[in-house]
Amino acid sequence: MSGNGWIGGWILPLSLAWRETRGHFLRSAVTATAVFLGVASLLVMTALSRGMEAQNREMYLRMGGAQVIQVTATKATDALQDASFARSRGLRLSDVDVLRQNLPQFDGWVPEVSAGMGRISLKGARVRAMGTASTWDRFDVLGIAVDTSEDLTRARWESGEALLVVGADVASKVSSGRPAAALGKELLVGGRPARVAGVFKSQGKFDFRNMEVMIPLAWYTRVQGDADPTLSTLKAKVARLDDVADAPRQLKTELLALHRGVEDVDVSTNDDLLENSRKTIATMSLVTILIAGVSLLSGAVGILNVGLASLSSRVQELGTSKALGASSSLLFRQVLFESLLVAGLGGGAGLAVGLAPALIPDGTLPWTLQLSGVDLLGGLFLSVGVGVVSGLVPAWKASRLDPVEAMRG
Amino acid sequence: MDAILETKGLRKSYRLGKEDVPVLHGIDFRLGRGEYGAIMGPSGSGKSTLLNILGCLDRATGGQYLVEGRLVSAFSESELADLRARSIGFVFQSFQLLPRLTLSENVELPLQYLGIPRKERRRRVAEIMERLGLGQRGRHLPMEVSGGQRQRAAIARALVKKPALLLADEPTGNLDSTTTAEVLDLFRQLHEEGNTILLITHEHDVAVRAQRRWKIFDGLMEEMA
Repeated sequence: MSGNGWIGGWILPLSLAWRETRGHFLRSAVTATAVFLGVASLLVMTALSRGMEAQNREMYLRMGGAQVIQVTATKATDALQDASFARSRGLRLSDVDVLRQNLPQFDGWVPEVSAGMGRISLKGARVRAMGTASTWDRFDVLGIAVDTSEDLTRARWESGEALLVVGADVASKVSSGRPAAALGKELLVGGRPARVAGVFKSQGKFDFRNMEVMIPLAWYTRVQGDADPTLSTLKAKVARLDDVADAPRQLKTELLALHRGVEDVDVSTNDDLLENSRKTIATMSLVTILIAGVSLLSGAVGILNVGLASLSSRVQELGTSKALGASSSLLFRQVLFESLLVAGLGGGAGLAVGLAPALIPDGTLPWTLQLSGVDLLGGLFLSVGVGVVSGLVPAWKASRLDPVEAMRG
Repeated sequence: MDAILETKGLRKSYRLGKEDVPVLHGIDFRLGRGEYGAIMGPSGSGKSTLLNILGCLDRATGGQYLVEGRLVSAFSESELADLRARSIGFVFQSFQLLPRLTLSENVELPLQYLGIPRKERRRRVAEIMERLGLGQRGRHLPMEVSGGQRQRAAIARALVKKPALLLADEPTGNLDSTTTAEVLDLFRQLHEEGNTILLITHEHDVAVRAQRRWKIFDGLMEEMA
């Protein structure tokens, strides 16, 4: 088979192209930088957004999935709204009883009062934690798992006993790094003593519950001397999945009636939250694609420019090759391979950077970086695409060279 | 003796603006297998144009041109490339070695174009390099050796594929007198070994070493006694 054949003759042009690329390695490496940046940024951001999406899905499930609807008390943003809000009592614990009675399609209610930061201390030292007062249903509705060494029951929780369930970070702080040893320890919450009766099962270093402290709402109301406290949020679980579509509207209508027509709450589903998060990630991805696109385009222009300059500087060589018997198609492949090798050099380095997150141990970063074989193939395809696009013009010009003219230089 | 090259009424003209400028005016020429010929002529006589056509680097605008009995005027670009690769070995005045390839790699290149297996390529390259006294210079780049060695490498590159015809364009034009003598001795030996050689030169001393000589002037060619 002749080395000039289209199918058989790719090793020779590839080896000649490699010699040319290696002969100008620094120039090739500099030209490849833009492709490297484009591919690397694309892969890293893809891995990051995949990880964020996965984490959001996990969070979604931990917040009760599609069946949990969240009601959040809103604040007035101007004087007019302030006057309007004054007509309503706001989101109160007593609302839950009315809602439970009027909306039988819901079978779980989780009133929450955010106790804020910095009100929890150990032996006079403040413990950084986010306090939430809530009912026992919170564990069931949100599927919260707790490690406990004692008989932590609904009856004790709802009786208003001074109990705490704390996150892993808080538990570590109160027991010198051994979360299990935190059980039974006493903390001060708003200056009042309460005993650690459970530790939230941690889902990793960056689990948002690690810094949480949960106290019985019954104890909170007793200590505060307020039987009907204002709620920060109310989570409601729809019994049947079929009712999820109508449930937010029904809940909102009921709350409007309870709040004398004042819209002082936001009602959202976990699907809404997930969708918002998806939109944010999609926007982030789009920006990344644009940046990577510009970088890859610069890479292509750079390779094209170097390819044309290189062609001009070795017209004689290429003419000689033709005189020696190299066909137009062989020269086309040789020059095209030169662009492909430069793009491949950048793309290969970009792929290596894209693979690097796989070496980072789980839990080191807030998000798991996820990259699939398809993503890597995509990176490779992009590099090859840049090489082909930028190499076509010089390759075509090389193949069209007239050997007589070319050898004159 | 069968003909390696044969032209019948070969013409070539170039388009200059709206005018055709004739360079070759109907050349009849024949070079038999195993012959050693030289075409002489001053600058502008058309000898380089003729060489380019004979070497299948350019096309005639009229007449017929046959290589080993095949009419090449009708050949496609790729057929011409194949003919150059298989049947014609070029030696240029300025050597035209590829600067990033070693002498061995330069000599090996035509065999690669022919798709000859690596082992056979290496054997043939070693043989011709040794034959031309370049056995110790194979790993050197062209810029690392003398002009004479470069031209010998260029001749080795032309001969390695065992072409039907060795075409040399002013092969001694860039060489000193000693090296010129060496190269011409080499051509004589190659001729004695049965190679067909056609060289183009403007130097009488070079042309007289050939077995047959032609003179080209103003696009017309005639054989010299």
